[in-house]
Amino acid sequence: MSKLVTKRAIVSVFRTMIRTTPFNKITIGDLTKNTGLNRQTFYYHFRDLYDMLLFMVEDDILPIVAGERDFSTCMMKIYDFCMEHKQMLLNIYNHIELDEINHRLKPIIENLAAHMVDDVTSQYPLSQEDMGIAVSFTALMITEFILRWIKRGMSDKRQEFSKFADLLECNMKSTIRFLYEEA
Amino acid sequence: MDIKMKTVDMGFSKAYDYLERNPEENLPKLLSMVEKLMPQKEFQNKYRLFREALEDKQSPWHKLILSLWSDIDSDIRKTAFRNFIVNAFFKWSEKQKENEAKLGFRAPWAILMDPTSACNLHCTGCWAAEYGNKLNLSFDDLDRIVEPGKELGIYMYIFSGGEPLVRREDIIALCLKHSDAMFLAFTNGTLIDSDFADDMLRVRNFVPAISVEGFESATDARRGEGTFRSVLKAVAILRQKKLPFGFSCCYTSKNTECIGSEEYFDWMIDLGAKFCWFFTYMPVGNGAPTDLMVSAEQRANMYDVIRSFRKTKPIFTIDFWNDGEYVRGCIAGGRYYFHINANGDAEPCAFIHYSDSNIHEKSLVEILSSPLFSTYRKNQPFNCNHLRPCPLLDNPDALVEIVKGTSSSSTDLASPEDVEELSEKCVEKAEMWAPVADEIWEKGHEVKI
Repeated sequence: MSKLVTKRAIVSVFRTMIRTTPFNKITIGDLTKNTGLNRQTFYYHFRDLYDMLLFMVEDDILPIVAGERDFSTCMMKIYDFCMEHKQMLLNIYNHIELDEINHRLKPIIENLAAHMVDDVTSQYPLSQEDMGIAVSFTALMITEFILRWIKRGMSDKRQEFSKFADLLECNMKSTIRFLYEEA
Repeated sequence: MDIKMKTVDMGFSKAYDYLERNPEENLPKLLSMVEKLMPQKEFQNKYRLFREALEDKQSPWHKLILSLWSDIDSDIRKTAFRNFIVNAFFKWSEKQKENEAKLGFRAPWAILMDPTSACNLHCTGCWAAEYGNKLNLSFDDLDRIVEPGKELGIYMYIFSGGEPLVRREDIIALCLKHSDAMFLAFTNGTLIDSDFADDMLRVRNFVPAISVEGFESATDARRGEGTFRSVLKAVAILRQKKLPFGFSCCYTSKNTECIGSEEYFDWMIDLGAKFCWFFTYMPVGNGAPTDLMVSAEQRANMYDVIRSFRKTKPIFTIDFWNDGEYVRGCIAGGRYYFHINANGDAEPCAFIHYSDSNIHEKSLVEILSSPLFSTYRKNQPFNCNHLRPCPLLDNPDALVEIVKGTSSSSTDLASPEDVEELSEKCVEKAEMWAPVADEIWEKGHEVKI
């Protein structure tokens, strides 16, 4: 089995378990038993359950952001995806230690954000350093916004989410234009 | 993790980022910070050496330290800094006061363990060739060593065997799970390919020490035709991916002149090795030849050569046995390290195949408190001359007394070796080395580190 296939197989079983079991009650032992794999196979691919979670985030969201050039549309696709997996996200968010995962989440979100700013930075090309600033800033905004939305129970007021997405897009564009003009 | 250690982690992370901006300028400042944080007496001489290396831009140590920035992947360098210096030294050192108070002993700095007795080569004189692939420690067995090991403050784990990379997926899994520990493996290098190197880049805390006997003819003569070329291929991959590695050399009566030559040292350095661990041949095992043991003259020559090259060559070397003066004698028996073979038997040393404990039956604490291990440590140092540190090679009666006094048995399953017969093999060389070692010691051996 290829590495990606194995990782996705593990995540697939996790998705089934998380529907009914909060994140902090899922053990690697239970997960590997349900996948029919052994602990060594899990640890070959993932350092711990958080590592697996981060893989899942990137594996799920990357196709969305890579396939959509418009920032707001991208954000709404992420919204739709999250709403489709609402119970899973709440079972995770409400039962993890955010401190443990925050610094590990950062490079993943930055990788996703790099795709999302691509359309704007192709119009306003930035130096490598400024690109880093733009991506970090965008990633920070998206992370804070989405985590806060999840923390508050993932309101299904689509219009409201869309308004904030537009606000983030506005901020992202002005940041990039500012960096471009100041260069 | 307690607050103090979390603070230390954050502090060192900031310190490392500061260092990265300008290593040449900031290293001395970082060293001062480390000295304040770890003022223990046992580190003082190490700090002095580092400071001398940093201040003297012509020093080979200066070159070696800066080459860690030019030659090594930045994520790996950062991980090594954290796992090796912060965890394996600082946290280990801090933990030992607690261990001494609670358990009555200090935990070793490292654990050497064999994931398997299997090997893809069949080298002359190697016991792995005899055991076949019957003995294995599973991933869970290895995990059950590392997890409690870290509780005792041990963050350094070394693989031997057998060929550890026969079990490369288990090793990678262990490295990934224990991302805060440092892992090194003695390996023949033939199984290091591009995929494994990518795994090494992914886990960031695994360093190979590739075993060679000298140049091509000597290496292939012992290890099989084509082995040397496989090693060169592996080294090229490691170098290209900026992965740190070193060599491990066993010097014998037949290859000492080559191993101790400037040509050999330059060859290792040119290939990109950052360290070399030297071992002298030990006649362990029934039928193991004694004529490969080095003479007193050859051993003294290696002593001189290695110390001389430390002043001129940018490579970090350790000469087991001859560097006894830097660590106050024998490091085995759980003092600084001990060995667990592929059967789970806990041995004081990789070269002392006797045991009274097995990890399948005893915890690490029980092993380190066992009669064999306690007696072994109680009897250290085995000689007041630390150039004669070994209870087998240099003081053969010492090992006999320990093994017989603690009812330990031979762990050599293929052919159990009587401890008196084993020790007898070393008597002649021990007697010849004694006056030579005493002369070096009296003349003014280098200051202990």
